Amino acid sequence: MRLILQGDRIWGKSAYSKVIFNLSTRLIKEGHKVAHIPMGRSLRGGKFSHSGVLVFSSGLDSFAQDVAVEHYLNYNADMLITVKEPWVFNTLHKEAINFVPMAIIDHAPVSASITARLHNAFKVIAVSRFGQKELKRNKIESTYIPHGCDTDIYRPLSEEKKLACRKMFALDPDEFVVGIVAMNRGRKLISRQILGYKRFLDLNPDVKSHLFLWTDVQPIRKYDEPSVGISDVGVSLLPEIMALGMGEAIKWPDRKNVAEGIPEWDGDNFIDGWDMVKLYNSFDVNMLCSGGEGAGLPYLEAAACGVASICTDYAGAPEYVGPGLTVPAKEYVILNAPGTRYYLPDIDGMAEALTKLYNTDREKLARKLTKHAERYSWDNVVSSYVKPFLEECETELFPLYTSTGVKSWRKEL
Amino acid sequence: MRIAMVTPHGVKCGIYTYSRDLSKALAEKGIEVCIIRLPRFGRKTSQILQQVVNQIPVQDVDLIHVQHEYGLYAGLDGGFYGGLNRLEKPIVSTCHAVGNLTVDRVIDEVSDKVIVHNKFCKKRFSFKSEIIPHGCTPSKTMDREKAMKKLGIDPRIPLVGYCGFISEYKGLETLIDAVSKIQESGLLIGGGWHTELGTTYIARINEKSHRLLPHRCKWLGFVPDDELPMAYGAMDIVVYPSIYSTESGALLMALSHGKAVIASRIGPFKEKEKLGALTTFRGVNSLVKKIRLLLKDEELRASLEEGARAYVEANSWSKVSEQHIELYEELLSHFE
Repeated sequence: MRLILQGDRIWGKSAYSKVIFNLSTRLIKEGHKVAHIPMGRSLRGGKFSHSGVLVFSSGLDSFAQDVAVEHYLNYNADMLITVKEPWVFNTLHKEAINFVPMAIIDHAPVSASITARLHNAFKVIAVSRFGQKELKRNKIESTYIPHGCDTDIYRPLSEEKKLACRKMFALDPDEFVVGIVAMNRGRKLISRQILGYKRFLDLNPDVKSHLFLWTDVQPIRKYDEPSVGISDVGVSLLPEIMALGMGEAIKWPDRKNVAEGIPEWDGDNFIDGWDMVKLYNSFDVNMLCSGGEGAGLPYLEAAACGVASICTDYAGAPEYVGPGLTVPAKEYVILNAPGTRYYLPDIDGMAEALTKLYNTDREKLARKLTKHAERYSWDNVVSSYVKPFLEECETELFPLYTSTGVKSWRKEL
Repeated sequence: MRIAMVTPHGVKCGIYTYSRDLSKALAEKGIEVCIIRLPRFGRKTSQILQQVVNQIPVQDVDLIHVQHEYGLYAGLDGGFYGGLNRLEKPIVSTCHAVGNLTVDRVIDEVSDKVIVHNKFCKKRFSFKSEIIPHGCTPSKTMDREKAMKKLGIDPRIPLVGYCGFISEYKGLETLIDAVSKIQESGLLIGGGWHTELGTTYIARINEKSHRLLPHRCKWLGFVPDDELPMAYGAMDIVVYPSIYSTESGALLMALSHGKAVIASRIGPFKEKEKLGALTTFRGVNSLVKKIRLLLKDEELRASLEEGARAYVEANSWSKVSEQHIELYEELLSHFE
């Protein structure tokens, strides 16, 4: 098939960039032709090839809607798959093309701002069973294709290397390290997660521990900067960290490291080779008790490195967290323009989950976690979910009615 | 023989259902059908329609059959047919709607054969055309008691029904007005819009039905194929009050389920009335009388149901596909 994936730039370090890169490169190996339209005005020049993927220019619209149809026609694409929350679109879903949105749903009941953009779609991809159920409740059929993780890259390192990782990130070898890997967004409820961690410390005063906050502690956008999207903006975390007296218990990197991102794997450089694999390998627990997750790559990446995660028992997160722990959440807040519900993880619940993981046999748990991550390995996602989906699309796009049934005429003739 | 059929496919759309059933019937008779998928929804451009033309595997097919309805081509019919013409293949067009002289002329000029569904359309289409009726699939309904139970309706209530897409020209206001005058009856409405869950018009009609028929009207929303036997099984009479229509796949679906149908007195439905397939009405009072009569007179209702089944038998997809094959063969013999 000839496919276009539209979303965060393929060469970027966001979760969606990783999804596009991993999916595109594997689809090429499967014999498909793949092009990419990067969003965020990130390619203003001409088209070029990146790892075999033809990358088109971004256009002037933040979500590349102004150039999508033109590229679709020029590429003679069979489908245009978007990897972004569908509510960002205001024209793309109205075009007479084979629009296939990944419906990333991090809340319930699902917002009409999302469902309204799915009615014309050729196919809808749900990245979690939770999202699929929400869509079904709104009479929208979807195909489940989870986000994946490259388990060749994300893997547990040896004990010796783990200690080297800790040293590199200035963490003590004998301390209990809780990590948070998240963009600074209101939805991530980082200040609340800090409260959960603080309660853990209060309840376990004998535990030597640090919270490693892999996030930008300052908002990315300035206060007076006009913005587009769903108003899920970042927050200034520093005043809260200091007011809670957590300045010493929490570590965070230079904001440049987070803004630019670090590579997934930087080789056997344990001196200054910061990368995501080494980061997860220096954690004992990965904590991401956000208000809602459509999927949650950090859960998978941590699991692949043998590190358990804790998440809020809401939306797509529990599926991705696997053998990790869920934290109950009874109350919700509404933080964004579409007015969707984000649930507040229970503060005592977070402390309890961290205590459980502190006291558990983490080595034994690591084996379960890597097994869980393997199910979400990109190779498995492509063979178990993407391939059958594309075969179904092929027959639906090019049906050949014969006396023996419906096949794809493009394959048969 | 292998044909390319340009049509919407795999979407909630009457022309898709038509093309699917025709293609299945043709395939059963040994004709292979390559579907060239026409986008049904969204903003169309001449480039998008050209992409549709470019997809046709010209070397592998004997002819091109276009399923045409004005809305599908968004006024870009000229460019689309120009593109088809350049492929130098025999072209058959089935006009599901007729009467736009400018577009009809384009279709006539480029198509080697034009198919319409009935005499009314043949007259309105100002150029040469052949009548091949819309096909039907004889279908069974669910037992009435069981269907009523599934729908949560008291089986003692005489039930009038409608099932099909809902838009302004379907005349549902007339049906609601009529049923409101028949105190003992209930109304079951199945159907919705092609894409979104509703439209402003549907909301307005829904409000009217609840105002005039409190606790007497049930809305099912879009009824998928596998639930049609239940919906029709519950209905004693089915009404199609369209203000205008060139043909109605929904009405034929009701006939296919062997239902007694009352339809508005317009050309395509009058033709079916003459064949004994249904009865027609003009105006609310006339509809009230017909509903009352049919609810009371079981024999009359049974004779209409018999007429429906006979019509469906005479116009089964199998027979309709044979007519298509005859037309294709004749066309190809001239072309060679």
